[in-house]
Amino acid sequence: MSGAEEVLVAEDLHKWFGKLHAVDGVSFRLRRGEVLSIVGPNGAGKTTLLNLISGVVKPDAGRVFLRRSGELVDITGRPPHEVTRLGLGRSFQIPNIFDGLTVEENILISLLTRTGRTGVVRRGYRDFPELEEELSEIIETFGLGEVRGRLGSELSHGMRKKLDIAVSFALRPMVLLLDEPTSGLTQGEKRDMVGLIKGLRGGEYSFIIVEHDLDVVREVSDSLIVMHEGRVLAHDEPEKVLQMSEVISAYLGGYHEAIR
Amino acid sequence: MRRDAELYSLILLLGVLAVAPLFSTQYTVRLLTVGLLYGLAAVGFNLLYGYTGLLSFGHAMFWSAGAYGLSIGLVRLGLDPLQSIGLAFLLTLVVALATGYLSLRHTEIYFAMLTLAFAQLIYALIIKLRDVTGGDEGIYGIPRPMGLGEYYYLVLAIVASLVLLAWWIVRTPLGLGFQAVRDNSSRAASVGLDVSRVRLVSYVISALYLSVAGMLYAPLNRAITPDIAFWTFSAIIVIMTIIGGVRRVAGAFIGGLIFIFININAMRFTEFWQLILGLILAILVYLAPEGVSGIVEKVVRRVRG
Repeated sequence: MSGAEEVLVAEDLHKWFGKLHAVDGVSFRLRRGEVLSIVGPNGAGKTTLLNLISGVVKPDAGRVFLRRSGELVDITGRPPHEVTRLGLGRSFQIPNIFDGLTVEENILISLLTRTGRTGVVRRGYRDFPELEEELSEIIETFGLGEVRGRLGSELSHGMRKKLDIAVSFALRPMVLLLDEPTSGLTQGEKRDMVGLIKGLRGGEYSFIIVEHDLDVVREVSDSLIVMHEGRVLAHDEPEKVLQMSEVISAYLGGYHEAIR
Repeated sequence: MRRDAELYSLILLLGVLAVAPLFSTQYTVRLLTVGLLYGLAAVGFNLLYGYTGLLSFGHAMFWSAGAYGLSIGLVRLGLDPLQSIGLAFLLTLVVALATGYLSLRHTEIYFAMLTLAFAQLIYALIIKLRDVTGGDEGIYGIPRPMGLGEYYYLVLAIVASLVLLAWWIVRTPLGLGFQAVRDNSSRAASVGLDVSRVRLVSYVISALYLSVAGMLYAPLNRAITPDIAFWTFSAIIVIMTIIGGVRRVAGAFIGGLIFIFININAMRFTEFWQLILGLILAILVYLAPEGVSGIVEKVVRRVRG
């Protein structure tokens, strides 16, 4: 892992909301194939950090670089659709899908944008055999087979979560940001989700995962960042971070209790 | 299956419309022609509203751009029909790109109000530019190249092609993009769609549909007046689309035809036909928000079990 090249670099990111310093000098490097988890209490700046990286919110200071054909490219402040096309996908804390479209259509959108076909009018969107094949694969991987023809609005919370990630994964992003992938899931669904992430992990894809459940974090992560009041409190291998006395006593102890 | 059902019902409907003049008076044929044009307008409007999620309250400006562009070319400038059509398209594109660029920075009610404002601006221009537009008297003596009976079939052919084209567009990647932006624009951006561009494309296509309807309307009537640019006409476009149903291309199309039917029949009974229209609209919104096409679909589904 340590030898793999960096695919995403965050350099001294800052964001203020009025007087609130929501993200306060965050820097880190993500390597190819790495799963980096971010934990911290509500309001620690985790989701804001994801927003800064994915272009949803512009940072007040600092830079974000993404590897693009061998070189690190500055993507700071680029709009989300451009950042996506450069190879960064994300899922959302509250499942963010297309309610009026079927599960298949939800995923097809990503396949069409990724292959540069969004403006096509000479063929129907179901007339691409090569995409249909990939679509079925993704539906299989994410366990959405039974609901593939249903509308987004008709899905259960757990299915919506899975679909949200499937939609982002279909972009085949070099880096995938997952915002609380297991929140609101039942224990069974949680285990499925962990299995899913572990299945996708390794090889090409790198992940940044914001997650509350420390068991999930332990199981899937290569490295762990603890955020508190906008700052990085610790950044190391998960077991090391979780054993740091200051993290446990000053912060994770209470936090760990609170979320159980 | 459901998709094919929509295509079959469209073809069936167009087939009925093709034989309808054989059993109709001149007067009815004229009404049917207007119905076809209203249907076309509703289909165009619905590409933007039902499929892209943007409610425009100013679509009368595009109908007018088509109608006035053609009429100015034919009557005022003495151009030949092809050149006049070119002028009408050019005028529509200018209006659509300018108002689209300015109003698509906003969505929902703000977008609706901006389109309304721009449409009223165009209306004011039409009233003021007397030398070109004839002011409140409008333009008279617009030639129609053929008799009403033949003109009906010309209109039917064009409307049928454009309605089927719309049916097709919403089934292409471009149309799927419209629907993604409608459902969730921030998510659409995060899967790589350029949301502002998708909206502008939908807006311009929608405007072109209205423009063609306006271009076909002018020679039918042989005269045009500024009413077609007034905001009430924009409201009629919204209303007939909702009556027909916004979830389908076929829904919007029958909305235009139904509107003319209600209009004529209610006028026979009372001067206050708009009251009847209002009642029908209110009842529909309460009981069948998916419009007449939604009711038909439900019935069909129930019959099939």
